[in-house]
Amino acid sequence: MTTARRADDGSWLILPALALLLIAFVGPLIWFFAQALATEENLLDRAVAVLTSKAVATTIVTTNWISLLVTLLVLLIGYPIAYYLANRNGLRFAAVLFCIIVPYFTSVIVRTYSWMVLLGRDGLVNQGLMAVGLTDAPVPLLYNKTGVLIGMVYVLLPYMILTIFASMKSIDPRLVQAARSLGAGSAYTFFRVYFPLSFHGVVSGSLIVFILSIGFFITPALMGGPSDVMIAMLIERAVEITFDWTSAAIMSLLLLIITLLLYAVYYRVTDVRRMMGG
Amino acid sequence: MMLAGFAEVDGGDIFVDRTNIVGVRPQHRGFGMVFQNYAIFPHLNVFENVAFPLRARRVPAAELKKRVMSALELVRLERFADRYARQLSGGQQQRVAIARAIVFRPPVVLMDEPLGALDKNLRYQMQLEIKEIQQQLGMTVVYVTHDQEEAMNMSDRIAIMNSGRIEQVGPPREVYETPANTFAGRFLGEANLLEGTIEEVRDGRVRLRTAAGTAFQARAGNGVQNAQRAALFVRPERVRIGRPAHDEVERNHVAGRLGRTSFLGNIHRHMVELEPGTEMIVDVQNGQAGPGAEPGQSVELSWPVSDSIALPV
Repeated sequence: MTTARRADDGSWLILPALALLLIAFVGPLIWFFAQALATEENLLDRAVAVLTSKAVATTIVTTNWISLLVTLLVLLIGYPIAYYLANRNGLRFAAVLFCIIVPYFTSVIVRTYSWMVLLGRDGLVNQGLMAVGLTDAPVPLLYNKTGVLIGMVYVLLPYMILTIFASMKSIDPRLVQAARSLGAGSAYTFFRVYFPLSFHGVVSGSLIVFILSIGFFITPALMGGPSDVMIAMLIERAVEITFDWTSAAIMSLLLLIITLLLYAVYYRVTDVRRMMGG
Repeated sequence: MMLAGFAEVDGGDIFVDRTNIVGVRPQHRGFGMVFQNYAIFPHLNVFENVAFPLRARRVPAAELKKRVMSALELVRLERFADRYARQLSGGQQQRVAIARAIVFRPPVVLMDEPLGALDKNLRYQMQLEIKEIQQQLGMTVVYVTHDQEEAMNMSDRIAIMNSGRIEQVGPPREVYETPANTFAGRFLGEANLLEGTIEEVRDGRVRLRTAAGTAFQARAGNGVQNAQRAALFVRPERVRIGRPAHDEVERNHVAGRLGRTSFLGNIHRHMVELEPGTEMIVDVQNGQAGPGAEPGQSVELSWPVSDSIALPV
């Protein structure tokens, strides 16, 4: 028999996924770029013009700034939660994990509207603040950067927590015990042993959150103000309102390139982790 | 784990130089600790691993370097200071762990089955090295192991523990030759234990009669009383097959049927059935005369009375 040459290693199993990806993603992408950019005679000049226009340049800065703030906030909030999760088991672990996972499976639009109910002028948060007497007039929490940050941080938190949690779970608890037995206090053990060992999770989680942030649309569109326009919103406007597909394509391309670059960094980080043997 | 402070003490106290350390947190106990899986910090190189306890104690840089290097010299790893754990063999990782545990000169070093993951030859070599370092530095090492040979090779004193209780403490030879009870007797090496009833206790000697009716003389173990159940303990290598030419010492004798023989390299191990269900193990050094009988034939066993002890059961 000559089956050795046709050894079935199961690689055909990914064909359906590959076909779907080609038909539903790569194809339309190429078609869109071709449609939008082929008509343009001097593409490079046009690209420079689009990207240096005040609106686009401002949006790119805003997008990156918001993404950076969101990433930092998510990291600051997510790390302790991940730590809690990684060092608990039983009911408390299940309860916290449940609170993280369930919203994760809920529609982003639903969650965003829920926040709008809470954060509005007469929302629960402002009612509470005024009832306690912390403020006399409603604090503007919606249709400004605060609103965007609250909404995005909330939506993106699970990605950070679960990524860091995974990296923490791979830390051998005996390393922490070893540090303690060698005379290191809690803080020294954390900063010299635990945090460095969970660092690749911090980097991976931050990259995931940042990548997702720069492409965010729904939350900033619904909860942001006029000065919180992000690049995805600008692309949507170009397609839907001004019918300027060329500009939309150029901005999309930029977003795609940034995402792919960050993904390359992310890939390197996870690769380095494998090299470190843990 | 309790000594290190990672597990709570249910009752009792732990004293180090007359100081009770129950309730002292692990980082303040000041013990060196070597774990079974080495627990080398993977993100730090060998030098930084060994320097860890010194940095935690804020030892000045110059002294730190000197002490780390001398600890590395002691374990013969001075050329590996820049390596990471993943670039080291198991034996080398173990040496890093040892250097890290002794570099801050702790009064007590705890080693929890440190050689469990190494192969037999390397284990023996590391046993000698650890023993040498221990004597050079004059520190106390509490060494946990399930390997009896390792325990006997390395210890000044062995504590045999059974579900959290100490069964016996003593020098290896004493524990091996004069076990306090049947658990201790079985734990270190092979043991023959013949159950019976004590018939007479006199001058530290007892007479024990088995259910089959054979009477044996033995030294009286602790807690053995007249008319009570006891087990006669004798090591397999003390038992001879066949009647010795002349009895210089008083001996116990018993007849049996030669059974299976296993060749274990340095010894031949013979099983001898005294009666159905009761077997004795007889170890004969390789190179010495064989049993002089075929399996299934009757043989006579004997051993010095002074080598047998009656232990309470």
